[in-house]
Amino acid sequence: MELKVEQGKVPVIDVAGEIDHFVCQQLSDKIDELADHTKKLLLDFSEVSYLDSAGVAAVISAIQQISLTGGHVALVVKHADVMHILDLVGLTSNIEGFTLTQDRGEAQKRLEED
Amino acid sequence: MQAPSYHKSWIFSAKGGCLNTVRAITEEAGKVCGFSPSDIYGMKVAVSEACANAIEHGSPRGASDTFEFEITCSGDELQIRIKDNGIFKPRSATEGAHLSTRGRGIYLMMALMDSVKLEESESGTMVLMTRKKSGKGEK
Repeated sequence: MELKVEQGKVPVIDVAGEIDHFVCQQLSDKIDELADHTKKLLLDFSEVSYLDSAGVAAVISAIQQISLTGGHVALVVKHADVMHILDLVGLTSNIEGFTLTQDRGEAQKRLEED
Repeated sequence: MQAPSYHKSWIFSAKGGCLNTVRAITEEAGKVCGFSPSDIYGMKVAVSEACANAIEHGSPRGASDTFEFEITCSGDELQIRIKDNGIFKPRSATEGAHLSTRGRGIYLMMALMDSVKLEESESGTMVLMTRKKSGKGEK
């Protein structure tokens, strides 16, 4: 897993590779760190090829800390199998303050509107 | 009885770094046995979840513990057996009315495989999972 943070009006966590139980703590720590200071967060998983329940837990943690307190989290996913995992755990359903999309431009637009 | 087209077994140290390896082995077995890429992906997630649990809960002595991993493909069925030294601890995916960040591993295993059996004994927990080519998850 490779992780890059872009600071700005809307912070971005850009992740590439495989997110599993072994490497996920780094992502969770970064989400916790940013959630203390922001009401908007873009998680760009465009280059993520593998995600399991640890990655799902990290996304839910972002939703809990930001979306459920009036903020907005947008998640960009391109890999169909990763999207299938998110579907199985219910993250493709409508969740207030959470946008799941395949298009980073749309994610940014939603965050700017909100 | 038909001879298995793929059968290998390993003993891993209970360290997180082996998750990559178990996924690679599962991918190899799935390809040899003719499973589709999306089937193979689902099996990789299920195997990785089960092994993560074996490392986290099935290894009371930490990284000095080991767990057994066996994968067999016979006919149109792939079978995976994981045996550790501890107690399997499925968590709930909700905490009261709230979403929990944990507890989706066993759910994903069951959603992605045709059968998941847990057998507990004094010596540890055995997870036995099977997936048929014509099984669930076809997209």
